Amino acid sequence: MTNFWRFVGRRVVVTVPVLILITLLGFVLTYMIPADPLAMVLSERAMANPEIVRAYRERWGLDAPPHLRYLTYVRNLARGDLGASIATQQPVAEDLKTFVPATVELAAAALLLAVAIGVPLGVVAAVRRDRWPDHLARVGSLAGVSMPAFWLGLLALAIFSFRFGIAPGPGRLDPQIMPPPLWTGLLVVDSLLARRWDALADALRHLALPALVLAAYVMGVITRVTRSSVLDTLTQDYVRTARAKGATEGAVVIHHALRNALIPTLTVIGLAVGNLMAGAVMTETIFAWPGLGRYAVDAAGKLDFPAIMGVTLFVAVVYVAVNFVVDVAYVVLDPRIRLD
Amino acid sequence: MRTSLTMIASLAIVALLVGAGGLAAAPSGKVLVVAIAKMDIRTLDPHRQYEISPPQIMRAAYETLVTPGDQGRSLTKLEPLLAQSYTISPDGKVYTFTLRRGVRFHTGAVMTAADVVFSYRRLGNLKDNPAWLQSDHVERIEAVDDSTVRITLKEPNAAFLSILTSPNFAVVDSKAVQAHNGTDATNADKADKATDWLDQNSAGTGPFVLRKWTRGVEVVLERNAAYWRQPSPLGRIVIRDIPDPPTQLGQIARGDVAIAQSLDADLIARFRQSGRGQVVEGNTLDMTYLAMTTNVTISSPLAERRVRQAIAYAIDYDGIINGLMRGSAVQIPSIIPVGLLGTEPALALKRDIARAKTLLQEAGYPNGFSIKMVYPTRVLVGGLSAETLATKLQADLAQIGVSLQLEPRETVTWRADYRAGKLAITIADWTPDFADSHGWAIPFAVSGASAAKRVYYDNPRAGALATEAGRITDPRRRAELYRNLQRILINDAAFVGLIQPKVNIAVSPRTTGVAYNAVYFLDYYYVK
Repeated sequence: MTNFWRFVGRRVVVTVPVLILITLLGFVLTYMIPADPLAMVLSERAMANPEIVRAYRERWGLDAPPHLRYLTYVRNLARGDLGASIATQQPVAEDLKTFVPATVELAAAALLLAVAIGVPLGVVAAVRRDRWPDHLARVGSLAGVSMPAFWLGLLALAIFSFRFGIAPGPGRLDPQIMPPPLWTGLLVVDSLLARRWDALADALRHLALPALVLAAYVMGVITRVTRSSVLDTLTQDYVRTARAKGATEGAVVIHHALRNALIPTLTVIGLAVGNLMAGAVMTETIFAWPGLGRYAVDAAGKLDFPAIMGVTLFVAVVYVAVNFVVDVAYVVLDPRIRLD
Repeated sequence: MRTSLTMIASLAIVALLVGAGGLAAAPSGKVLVVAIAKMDIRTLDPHRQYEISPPQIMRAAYETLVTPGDQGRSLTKLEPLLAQSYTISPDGKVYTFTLRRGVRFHTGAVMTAADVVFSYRRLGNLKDNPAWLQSDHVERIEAVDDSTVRITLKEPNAAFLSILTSPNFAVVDSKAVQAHNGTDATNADKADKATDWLDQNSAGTGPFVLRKWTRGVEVVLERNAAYWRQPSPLGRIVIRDIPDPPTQLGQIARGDVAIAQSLDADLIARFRQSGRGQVVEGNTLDMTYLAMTTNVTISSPLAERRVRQAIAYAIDYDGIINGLMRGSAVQIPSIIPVGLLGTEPALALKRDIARAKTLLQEAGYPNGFSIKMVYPTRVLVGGLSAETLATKLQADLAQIGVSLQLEPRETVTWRADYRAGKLAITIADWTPDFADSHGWAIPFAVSGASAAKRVYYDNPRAGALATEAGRITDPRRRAELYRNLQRILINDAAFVGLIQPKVNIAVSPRTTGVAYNAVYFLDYYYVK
């Protein structure tokens, strides 16, 4: 047990310098772009008016030299202040609170679908190797990995929404439906908490198509990795022993082999979470999903330094946290792996 | 006992339900759903907003003293709105407005001159993006009495009434804004804190009330039942951000959306063909033009006027408008957009290769010449990529022997070079500051003004015409002056007008009253 806490402690200690390095990198990269963020926000006539320019520079601290600006930023960060976005004029923390839940909801749904379908599919493909379930699974996963998200999204909308009318249009909720009171920002959770069944149903219906589109890629990867991993495990000695002892095939696969086979799959899932949380810009654009991806792209285009840094840090923290969880999960799955 | 408890319990439940549903109780009437792609709303504070998406929302919730006439179809004839009448002093510097009586704000308070003074002062003192509209022009604003406002300008400006139609000159309830920590004092840029409240509430007099703004998602407006004119039949307007134009097409075809504002030329063509609704067209006040230096040290061929004229005659204007822009544009004759005072399509040049060649010969370049054209790597107003336009111009000019060496340059760098007057020939675009010819005449025709100095344009006659037309108030005389001005500009050929893009709004069959206006895009009061 003390090993575990030592592991946690070490991880936390390493994370802090990593995050600081990320802020420095983000700052330097944004600075290297030879453009004035004010020119992106102010009109030409406004730029010609010295009063307006002065007022803006003062408000956003743009007249200080770069190293001072960076130190101010880091100092504020230590106090939990992420600064204010130049484009939306809101505190970045507020912006994140507005846009992150939408991405979390979409990412969670996509991941759930990808795992719920991908893992069993991979197992079946491995067990029925070289027969039709295997071929089906391999072609399916290849398709999922190869199709670009924007194309798949448009196709899905065109067919299921516009042509056949089974799926609703883009957006998180129908314009006619009142959104549930805001608690977590996840419409599904908030509707449940408020017992607003109409909003719940509508939110789920709107979630279905974009989640499926996003899940396609992850599902493809998970299927392949699970398949090869299970295949690998099934040739291990202990599996032959289990079979020799008379265990049913089902017990062999699920009880003995799967636990170990899941380790590479877990790695993939961890990476997928990081990717999904960064916000799938294409999918969010097509489905009018107001998430982190769109926010990040807008911020980048406007040289909105505080917003860019806010998003970068958030995604970095997510990656670090997920990797940590995955490492712990390894140990749970395979006691042979130790935490040092 | 039990009966009364049950009664109390039922009453309590009913009260809870009614209370909970209170938010959901929308006014009766049609819900109009509008789709716009990538709304760039930064704030809904009328004295701060200067982006592309907010004006139509501002127009719905707030009003100005004067407004474009004929339900918004005329930019040159203005009509009083919150003002009942106005007079202009003979020297053109003092404007006195008599306000309409009995107009109420959404908050219930009655509008008085004090509110107008507060609003205009706040606009200038917030020192935000649009502040110059006030502070560059206005010397003093005073409330003479409860219904009279007197505005004194720094100098006579014929465009002032047009400037006042801008949504930034919204009249807000001064008491409500001040109650939410707003101020019109000179330090308003630091002291005013009312913007957060104004982002979610409207303190205006308009036919609609701002209910809610969810960033990146939608803006919801509801009918103002106490509006001073006949209230709108629309119960609610939901303006949704649907970032993908093909998705908007699908939605309007299905009837989910009544107005789709972001369809490009291809999608509009498909919509027209589908017969699922109609397309409302309008001329924007944006424009794309060709700029050529008159400075011999930058380019010796171009310094010669006949060479510039030759180039102007060599351009295939029809090909650009009908081919590149697919008919979604008009040829702007010079630099003042069609729809404003003094611009006539008849002034526009037509391609004339023979004349172009003759001019080149007379200028001493019988075999043409080669010149470098730097252009920005961006999409110009109207959606045309600068690269496509540059390539087209290259092909056009090759026909008279002028060889354009195209050099793309990153937008920020290109802009700096162009503004510094370093470029010999380039393509650029221009968006309106306000809806009066004065806003174009001065920058382009006066020597040393913002656009003219980029090509060292110096024609005292042109400058004098532009200045004079900006001072006198008689519209007929002004139009005459602007016509003459444009004839001179066309003759000098330092700026060659190319494209004035149109706007195409897709409208579903059961929706009427949609008309484009360049000042506020669309007036929802007339939409049914």
